[in-house]
Amino acid sequence: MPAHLLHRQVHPSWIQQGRFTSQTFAPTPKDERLLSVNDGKVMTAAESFEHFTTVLLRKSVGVVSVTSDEVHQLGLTWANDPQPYPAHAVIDFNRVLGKAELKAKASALAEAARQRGFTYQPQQAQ
Amino acid sequence: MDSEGRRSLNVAGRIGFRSPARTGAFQVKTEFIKPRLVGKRFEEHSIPVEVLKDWAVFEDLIVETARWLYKVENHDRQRVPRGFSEGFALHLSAVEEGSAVPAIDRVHMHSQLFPDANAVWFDKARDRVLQAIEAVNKGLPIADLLPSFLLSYFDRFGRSLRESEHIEFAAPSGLGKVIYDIRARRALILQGAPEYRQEERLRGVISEVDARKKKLTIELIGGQRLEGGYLKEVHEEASAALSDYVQNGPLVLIECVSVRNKQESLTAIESISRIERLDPLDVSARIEALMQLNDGWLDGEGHAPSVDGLRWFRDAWLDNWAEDMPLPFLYPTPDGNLQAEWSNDLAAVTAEIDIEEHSMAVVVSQHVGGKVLSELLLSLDEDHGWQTLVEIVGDLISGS
Repeated sequence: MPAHLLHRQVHPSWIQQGRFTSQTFAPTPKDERLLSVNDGKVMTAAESFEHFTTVLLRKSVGVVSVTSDEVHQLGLTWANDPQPYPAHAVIDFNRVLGKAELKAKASALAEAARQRGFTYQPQQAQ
Repeated sequence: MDSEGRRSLNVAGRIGFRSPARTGAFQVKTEFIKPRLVGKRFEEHSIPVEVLKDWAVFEDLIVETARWLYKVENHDRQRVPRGFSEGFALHLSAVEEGSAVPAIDRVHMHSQLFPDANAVWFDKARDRVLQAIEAVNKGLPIADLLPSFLLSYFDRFGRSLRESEHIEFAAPSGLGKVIYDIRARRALILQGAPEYRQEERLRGVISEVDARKKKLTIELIGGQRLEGGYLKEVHEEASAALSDYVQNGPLVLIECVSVRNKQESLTAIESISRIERLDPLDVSARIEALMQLNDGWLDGEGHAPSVDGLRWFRDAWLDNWAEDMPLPFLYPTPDGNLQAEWSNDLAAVTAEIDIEEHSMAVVVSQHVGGKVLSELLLSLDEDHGWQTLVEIVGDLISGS
C-alpha cells in the first residue's frame, strides 16, 4: 500500500546547497503549535506546489513530504483541517514539551523528508 | 635615491645608500614621519608587505605636493630648481613598538658647502597633506589645501586598508592626531574624482572567461554581474572555476581592485590578482547572502537579521571556528536570528544563534523518536562557548 504522504513547501531562503532547514517542519509561534501540511490523499505533491504558489501566492522551491507513520513514530498526531481548503491538514505539536523537544521533533521529521528527497520540484529548481 | 635616479623603499629596514659622495657630502637620514598603523594585522608590530607599497605612493605624493607648493610660492618660476627631488627619498628604517610604527626617514646628502635648501619644501608638503586629511575628517573644504590633481594619489595610498584599520599621524599643529582611514581616503578621492578604488575581496560565481582578453565575468552573491580583467597568473584558477559552472557553479573568492562611486555602489572590478575556490558552505559567503534579506522575507512575515549582527557573527566565526571542523548549514529564523545545523544518519545538532545577544541555544537530538539528547545555552562572547560547540559537533561527526 503506498505511504500516506503529508506535504510541506520549502521556502527559498530555507535551502542551502540543496539541503532544507529543519525549520521547514517546525511550527512558528503564530501557528499555535499546529503545523500546516497538505494531505497527500487529497492533493499530490505537484498539485500542492501549484496551489501554494498560484492560489496562496507564496514562495516555494519544492515540496518535501513525511508519512503518516513517521509522524506517529515521533509521538505526534495529525488531522485533516479542511476549513481553509480541502487538502489542508495539521501536524499537532501541542503534546511537545518545551522548545528543545520541538526542535528535536522538527529535526527528525526533516531528516525523514530528506531521506525521501523532494517529492516535487519545479523544472528550473532541479 | 640611487645612482640611477630611482627612489627606493628599503623594506629590510636597513639604510641602503649606493651613491658615493663627491663633494665632501655624506648621506644622512632624518626622521620624516612616524605613523602608527592600527588594526589587527599590525598588532604584532609588524607590517604586511602588501601595505608597504603604500608608502612608495606616499613618497610620490610628498614629492609632487612639494613641487606644487614651490611653484605656488614662487610665482615667477615655471619649474622647480634642478635636482629638487633628487635629494629626497623615504626609507623605512625601523618598526617600533606600539601597534606597528614604521619610522620613515628622509635620506639626503648633507654638506656644509651645499646645505639642503629644498628640505623645507618636503616638510611643508608633509604638513600640507596631513592638514588636508585633518580637514576632510572635520568636514571642512580642502580645495585651498591641495589641488584635485594631487588628490588622485590618495587613490593608491591606503588602498589595502581594511574597515577596522587606520593610520595615525601626529598633527602638524602639534595638537592631537590625524587619522587616515577608509572614510578619510574615500572623502579625499571623491573631492577630486567621481569614483575611488580599493583592494577588496568579493565572493561569487564565475560565469564567463575570455582567455584572449584576460577578462572574466563574476556573478556576485548580491546578484550583480561584473566583468573585470585578471592577471595572467590566475588564468588557470579562472578557467577551472568556469569549467565546473553549471547552474550554480563553485563559489569563489576573488581579490581585486574594486571601483566604487560616491554612493559607494560597486561599478567595476580591475586587476583580479587571486581566485580561490570556496567551500560550498563558506560562512562568509552565506552571511553575505543573508544580508540581502529584507523584513517580510518569509512570505510577508519574518524579520531580516540585522547587518551588524550578521557581521558580528561572521567575524566571531572566523576567529573561533577551527578550519578542520565541518561547516554548518546556516539559515535565517523568522525572528531575525540564525540557525546552524549539522546532522548525520543518526543525530543532529541544531543551534539557534541570537546575533544581538551573542548567545547560542544548542539542541542535540537523535532522529529515532525525535529525542533530545542534550540542550545547552552557550555564550559566544566567551572562548568556552565556542570550545563547547566544537566538542559537540566533533562528537556528532565521530559518532560518539
